[in-house]
Amino acid sequence: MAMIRELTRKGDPMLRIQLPEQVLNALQTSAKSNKRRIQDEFVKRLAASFKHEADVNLVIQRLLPDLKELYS
Amino acid sequence: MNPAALTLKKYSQVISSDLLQALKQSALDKDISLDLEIAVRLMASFTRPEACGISPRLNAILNYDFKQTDAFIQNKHHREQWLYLYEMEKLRLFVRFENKLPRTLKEKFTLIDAKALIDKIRNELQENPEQE
Repeated sequence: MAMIRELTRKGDPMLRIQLPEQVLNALQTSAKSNKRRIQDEFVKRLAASFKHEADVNLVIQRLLPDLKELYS
Repeated sequence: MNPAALTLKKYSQVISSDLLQALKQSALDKDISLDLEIAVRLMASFTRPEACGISPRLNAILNYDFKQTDAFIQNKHHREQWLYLYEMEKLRLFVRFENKLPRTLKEKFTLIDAKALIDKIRNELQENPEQE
């Protein structure tokens, strides 16, 4: 059974966001190579990111000003 | 990844409410939007550590979760190394004085194989006799 179906219950919210196209392409490529659906890949990577907060903080440090400009 | 070259695209999917809550809280703590929080987390999962100016080895050290069981294993390993050195010294000393010590004296060795090493140490002492 797909991961997303296991994790979500009826009535769970629909997430509507905007992501950099390059990130979405990387997600698509990774999902294809791991033989997963993109939704499962999305959830897996997000959940794993909570175990590697140091990496997340580094990306924020380096890229936040540019990303804030992108999202403004 | 060049931030200047990034363009935004819409994405939507169902997500568990627990994960959404965790993401919202994390975004709130960092004082950024939810979109940005998710983008950053995904980028971190794709970005190699060296791209952020940190070596993979240091990244492995930073992210390594040193548990108490690991500490016990490491401590035990260190003590065994010291025990080996101690017993080798004890054996050398025993061989050096074996003709002068009481014949009933029996030394115990827990880690090293004294019988296998005793001849080797005797030969070493014959080649390099120490001053008494």
